[in-house]
Amino acid sequence: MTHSTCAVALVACMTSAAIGNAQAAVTQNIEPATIGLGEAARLTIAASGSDASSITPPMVAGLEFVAVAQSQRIESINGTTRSTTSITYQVNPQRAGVFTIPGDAVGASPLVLTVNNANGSAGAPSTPAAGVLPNATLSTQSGGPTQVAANGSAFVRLRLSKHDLYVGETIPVDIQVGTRDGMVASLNGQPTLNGDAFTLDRLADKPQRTAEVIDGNRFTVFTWHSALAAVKPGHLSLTMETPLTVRIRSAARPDRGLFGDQDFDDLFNDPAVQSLFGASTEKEVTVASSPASFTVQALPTEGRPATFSGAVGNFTLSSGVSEDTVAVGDPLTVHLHVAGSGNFDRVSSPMLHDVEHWKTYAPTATFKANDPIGYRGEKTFDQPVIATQSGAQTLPALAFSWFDPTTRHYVEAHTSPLRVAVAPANASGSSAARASPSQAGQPRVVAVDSGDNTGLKPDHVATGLTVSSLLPHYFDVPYVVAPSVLALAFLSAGFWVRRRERLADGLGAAREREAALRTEPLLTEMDQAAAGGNAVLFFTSARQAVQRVLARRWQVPPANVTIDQAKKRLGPQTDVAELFELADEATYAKLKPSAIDFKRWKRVVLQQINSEMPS
Amino acid sequence: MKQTNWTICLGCLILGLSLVGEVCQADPSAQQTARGSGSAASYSAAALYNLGNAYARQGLPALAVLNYERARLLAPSDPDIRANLRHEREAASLPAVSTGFEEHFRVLSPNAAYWLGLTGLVITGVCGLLLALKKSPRVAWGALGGAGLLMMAFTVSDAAATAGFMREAVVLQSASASASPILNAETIFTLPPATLVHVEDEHGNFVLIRDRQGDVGWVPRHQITTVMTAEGNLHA
Repeated sequence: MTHSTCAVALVACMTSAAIGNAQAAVTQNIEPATIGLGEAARLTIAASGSDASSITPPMVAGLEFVAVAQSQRIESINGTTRSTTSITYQVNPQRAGVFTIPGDAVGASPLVLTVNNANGSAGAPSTPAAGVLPNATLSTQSGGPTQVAANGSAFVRLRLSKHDLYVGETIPVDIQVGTRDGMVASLNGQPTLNGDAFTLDRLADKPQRTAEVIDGNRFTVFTWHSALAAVKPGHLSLTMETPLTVRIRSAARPDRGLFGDQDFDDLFNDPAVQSLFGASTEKEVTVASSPASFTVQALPTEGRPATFSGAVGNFTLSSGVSEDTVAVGDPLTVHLHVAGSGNFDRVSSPMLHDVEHWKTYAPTATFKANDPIGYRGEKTFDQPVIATQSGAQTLPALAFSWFDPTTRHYVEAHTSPLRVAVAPANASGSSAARASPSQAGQPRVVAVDSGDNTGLKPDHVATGLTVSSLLPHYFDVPYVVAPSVLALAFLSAGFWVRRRERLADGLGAAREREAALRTEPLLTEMDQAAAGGNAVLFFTSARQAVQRVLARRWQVPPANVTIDQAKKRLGPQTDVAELFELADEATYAKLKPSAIDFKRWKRVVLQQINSEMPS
Repeated sequence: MKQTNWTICLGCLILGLSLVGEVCQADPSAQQTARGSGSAASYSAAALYNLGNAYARQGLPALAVLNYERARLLAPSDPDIRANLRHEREAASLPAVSTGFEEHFRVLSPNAAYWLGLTGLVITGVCGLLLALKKSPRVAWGALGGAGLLMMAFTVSDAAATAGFMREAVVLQSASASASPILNAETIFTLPPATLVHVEDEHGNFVLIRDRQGDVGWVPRHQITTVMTAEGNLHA
């Protein structure tokens, strides 16, 4: 289709619209007409033959009007085109009373809205009426900044109730994806979480659908309600993104407009109109939300009760028994109810163990959610027990502890002890007494340690130690070097010790040899023996002295210096051999000292010693 | 007296080594890690386990199994990790992977085994030196040195068992295994998401994998991610 053909068609449309404007009519209605304080009503103002700019919200003291949706309907009947524009406002009362919403400003009939206070003093029931917007939930959550994608086609927005969390704490989160009408062809998947520091519950297949006007453009907003939890401490950020298919212009927009008229050009450039005329193409994009910053703290270790299982939130505790009076052997059920808001997947109780006069069985748990995301609700633990002794028996108090993020303290609550009157067992025995606990009317739904209805074990609260790499240390080069160096050091130390020992052994032997070769003491002994006429001692000492001298010279042990060796090395006529023979004779034959020339033999000895001395 | 001094020295050495190990393992700089905030990656068994739970709740079994496997690597004796891993495998109609050895014998993480082996090395080395120095009581030093050797043997066996795990990978999306590492090659079998496979070889943009049934084929690299990754892209 050519531009001129388009122009003709659009001129016809605009002419018809101009006709419609001449017959403008405004109507307004409010639903419901009676609400409670804290609730909201929906006011719809519809103007036929008009555009959105001509509709303005009414001004009423005590009421706040927030535009939440806009729609436009174009009808063509028998060639006559009629358009109707509607804007829906969320009406938030700021006080109780009866309010009149004027209609004269827009030419409509006035409306009356009755707002009851908490106790319903206006006579109307305080329970929410059908159609009341759930603004009580949304008002507690701060809307994140709406960052529309660069081409203006879509946005992803997070609505969070708080940004300071504790590890394991669960908070409700609304994830909103806005798609501009006519520009987004399809959503190609659910929003996904970016970042590994948070967990998000499974998103519903069918999100809530509303409309919203941003900068005069109408967006369809898809809202998923879910629960968010942090898995580790730190200053963290979170974004969500979603894939979608958008329509983009295939032709460049003229600088001055196609027709030179703003209204014509705006209409022509509208993506819906372009799509109608095939002037746009589709493209897959991913739109992300603005980063939401969080400060996540680890749960304090101080004051942590021994029974703490990781529950974070605000809870109340109550208990009871299925029957106040039973017979010995009859089972009854102990109930523990934990109600409130928080991470119910971490709500756990060991219930009763080893109670005197009672036989206990494994408890079961059921959870009943009070909202779609399981943030508020009640978890009930049921434990079958059987009395083993008659009389007035008492079941001990049950304990449950949690961390309250509001007060930033641990809370440990106890129920009251339960009193049960136990009658003696029936002679015939009741069938219930013989039945197993699970057959005694106790629904076994979920195991106690089961985290949620997905069958998964619950999240862990404590983050534990962290490592910078999944690669085990023994495959990491720097960590392998350390033990290698250590092993080398030990081996070196071992070698050093051995070497030191060997050196020590060698030095000792040398000292022994040196001591063995010293002759001075022997010469002294010789002198003393000569003076005393002790021939045996004289020759023994003389022989030892010569043996030491010759042993050093010949590099042999002193014991190897014998008569034969002396004759062999020094000649058959040597005095040394004769000295040795005399020493033997003195030892065995007892030489007479008078016949011995001590001086001569001492000279022989000194001659051998002096021949060893350096010149 | 000398003997007491030696014992005290040995005790202090072991204690100091253990403390150094713990400090190194704790890596406090990693406490503030988050992918969203752009700092370096860090891992803890609990965070990986919780991440696996989140993916499981979102109906993404492959990423759930991947994170459970990584968590199991850091905390092999954690019963919750094993239970949820088994649950996800069953939910994805995958055959159970035998973890009998790990369930019964693997009580320490690989890093804890490393520190145990290092401590064993120190004990063995010190006791060997004491024996070389002929310090009494020689029997006690010998026994202690033997214990150190056992600790080192435990670490070596743990490393040998873990070495096989280094090339394990998880199939992220349904993958067609082909006979050749080329585009449009003949498909010989299909791997469902969350399947655990062993990477045998690599070629270009393809990896050769072997599944639990022993079937071997080439799959595109982007369709799998290894369990044990040094740099750690959690989202593969």
